[in-house]
Formats: sequence, C-alpha cells, structure tokens
Amino acid sequence: MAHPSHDELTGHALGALDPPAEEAVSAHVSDCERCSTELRERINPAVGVLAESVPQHEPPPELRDRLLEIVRREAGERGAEPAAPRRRRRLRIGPVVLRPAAAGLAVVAIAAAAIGGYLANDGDDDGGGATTVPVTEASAGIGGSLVVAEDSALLRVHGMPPLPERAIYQLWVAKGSTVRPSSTFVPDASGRGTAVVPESLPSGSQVLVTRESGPGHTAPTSEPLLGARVD
Amino acid sequence: VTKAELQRLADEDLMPLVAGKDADAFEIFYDRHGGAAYSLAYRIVGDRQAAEDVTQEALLSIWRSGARYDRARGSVRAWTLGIVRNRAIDLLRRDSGRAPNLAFDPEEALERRPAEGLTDVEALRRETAREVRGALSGLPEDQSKVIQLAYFGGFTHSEIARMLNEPLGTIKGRMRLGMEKIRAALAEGM
Repeated sequence: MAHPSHDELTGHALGALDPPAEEAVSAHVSDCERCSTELRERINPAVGVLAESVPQHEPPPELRDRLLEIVRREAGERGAEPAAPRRRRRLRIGPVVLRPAAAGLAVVAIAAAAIGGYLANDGDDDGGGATTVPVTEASAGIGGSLVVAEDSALLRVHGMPPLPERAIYQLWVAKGSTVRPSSTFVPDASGRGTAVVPESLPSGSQVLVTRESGPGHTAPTSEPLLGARVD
Repeated sequence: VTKAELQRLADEDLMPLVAGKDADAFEIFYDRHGGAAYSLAYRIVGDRQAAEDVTQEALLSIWRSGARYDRARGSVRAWTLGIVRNRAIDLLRRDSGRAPNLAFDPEEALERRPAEGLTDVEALRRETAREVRGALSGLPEDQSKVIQLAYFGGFTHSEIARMLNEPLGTIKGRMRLGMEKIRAALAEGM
C-alpha cells in the first residue's frame, strides 16, 4: 500500500483504526522505515504521555504480594525442571591491545572499522565449556567477568575509575565488521558495575567498554578500557 | 546477580533478565512500573478490582511469555503501558455494558499516592503527568474527546463517528490535530 496518511498513522498509534485498516497499516509499518520512524519518533511519544497522564493510584499491596508469589513459584518450578541439554560454548579471551591514537585523528575514526583492532586474540583457550570468563583490561586495577548465556550476557566489573558528571561507561558489541552500541552503566562508589548485553553473542563477537560523555553515541569516542571476545 | 546490582540496571537491561525468568528482576520491574500500570488500568476500567485483574494479567503475560522487549520501539515503560492498555480495552470490549470512563476532571490531578518516599524519577514522572493533564485540558473539547474515546475507551474511528454523529474524516482530523498539539507541548517541555 501507499504510505498511510498522518490521520491513519495517528489512528494506528491510538488503536483507533477499524480492523481492515489496522491490518493494512500494521503490515506497512513493519516494512517501512519512513513510517516506523515517524511513529517511533513523533507519534508514539505523544501517545506514551497519555498513558502517563492519568492520576496515579497506589496499587493494593496484595497485588504485589500475589504477583510475586506466582512469579517466584513459577521461577522455582522452572529451576526444578531437569536441565535441558545446554549448548556448550567455548570462550576465549585475548588481551586488549591498545593502539596509540594517531595525532589529530578525529574521534569518529575510532569507530567500527578500527575498533576490531583493539582486541587481538592470543590463541589461549580456557579448555572449553566455560560460560564465565574474565575480561581483559587495558588499565591496571580493572577486572571482571562476562557471563554468556544463550540470548544475553552479563558483564560485571570492578575497579572502574569514577566518571565525571553525566558521563557513562558504554558497552559496544562488535560482530564481524560492525560495531554497535549496547547497554550503559555507571559504577558505584567502589568502582563496581553491572551491565547486560541483551542479545546473543555468537562466536567471534566482542564486547568492549569505553568511557563516553553520555549516552547516544553511535561510535566509540575513546579507547576501550576493557573487552572480551567470545570464541 | 544481587538485588542491589539489579536495581542499578536500566530498564532496558533489566528486561532480558525478566525474560530469562529472574524473579528478582521481575520484582524490580514491578516496583518501577506496577503503580503506573495499575493507575492506567484503573483509568480505563474504572473499577479497582478490575484494574487489579488487568494489571495482574498484563504483567504476568510479560513474565510468562518471555515477551521480547525491543528497545528500538520505545521505552520499557511505554511498552509495558501499551500492553496494559490493550488488556484493559479487551476487558471493556468483553463487557460491552461497561461505559468508558471519559471524565476528565482537573481535580483528578490531585495525586492519590503519598509523596513521601518517591524516587526522583517517580517524582519527575508525576510532575510530567500533571503537565500532560494540563496540556490535555487545554485542548479543544472536540479534540480531547475523540482522543479519550480512542485511547481510554477503545473505540475506533468509525465507532466514534457514529457515536458523535460526525463525518469519519472529521473524527480522524480532530484526533490527529489533538495529538499534534500534545506533541508540540511535549517538544516545548510542556
């Protein structure tokens, strides 16, 4: 179909389209970058504040108790199930090799194409089967581990230098020749921090951490402080 | 992962753990969004027991389905409230005798929840909610009404047109104009 009108996109966001129109607009939006961007950046935020605009009521404590009871029971049942055969992943970590930045090099040059060079695999192997590996760091005193699961990974670090106000530590995931921003974290007063990588990390992918002035960067602007390679 | 560590995670980083059936992560997710979810459900269904049921159904669906949150589609908060809204509308439609709650009384801006103990984030959200209500109450009534009938009442363009005895195109246009004004108010920081 042609691009939906603004009336139709607004109706879609508010759940006001009649079923045939809703079906057509949903199908279009799922394949159309222009319309999905329009929705995401211009219309949905306004719809979102409608939901936030309602008077706030304290939910009854029993609701929380009941929900958490169900959730904990179901989590326990899941934990008690016989463990399914788990895909064993061999992890291998190489040391971080920091290259001195070329004088005058624009910060954006420390981006996707170059960042792969910051990590070099030294060929060591942990013996196979491990899902938790230590990170390799570029600065003394930093340490931690990366726990790799099927569809996500958890990075726990310590010894991270304190950050200036509003700065953050940014995780990057390098797969092949692409490097994309992932989650962020701010360490606590003791320098400890935790961050989730909410995606599968296939063999050969790398997780890097840089210090950034704030969230929203699409490429690293500083050298990695630590990293880990999944093998 | 300890609870203290979980509490430091951003929403977007908490959700993969919820999907992985981490009960502690769900508890934190509930504490961050359960109040907003219940409040939205109550606004739509207008009944405390029904609002509890809707909130429980919606949040358990997130827990049980392992629904995958996609950060490209917006915030965890907006995603969660969208699920709650749809559940509440489903309930309204199942019980067709239930009239939508269209009262929009600025006095409702008086918060029911005690202010003490609010986190900065929650306090900011309340302030934003007040400002949004102010922006909504400033809309022409015909625009405000069609938006409320759609979002809080679950009515479609055609249903609203029949209800108000207005041409379909008029209803669509009012809805778009009203939402554009809300968006403009957002852009100006309310």
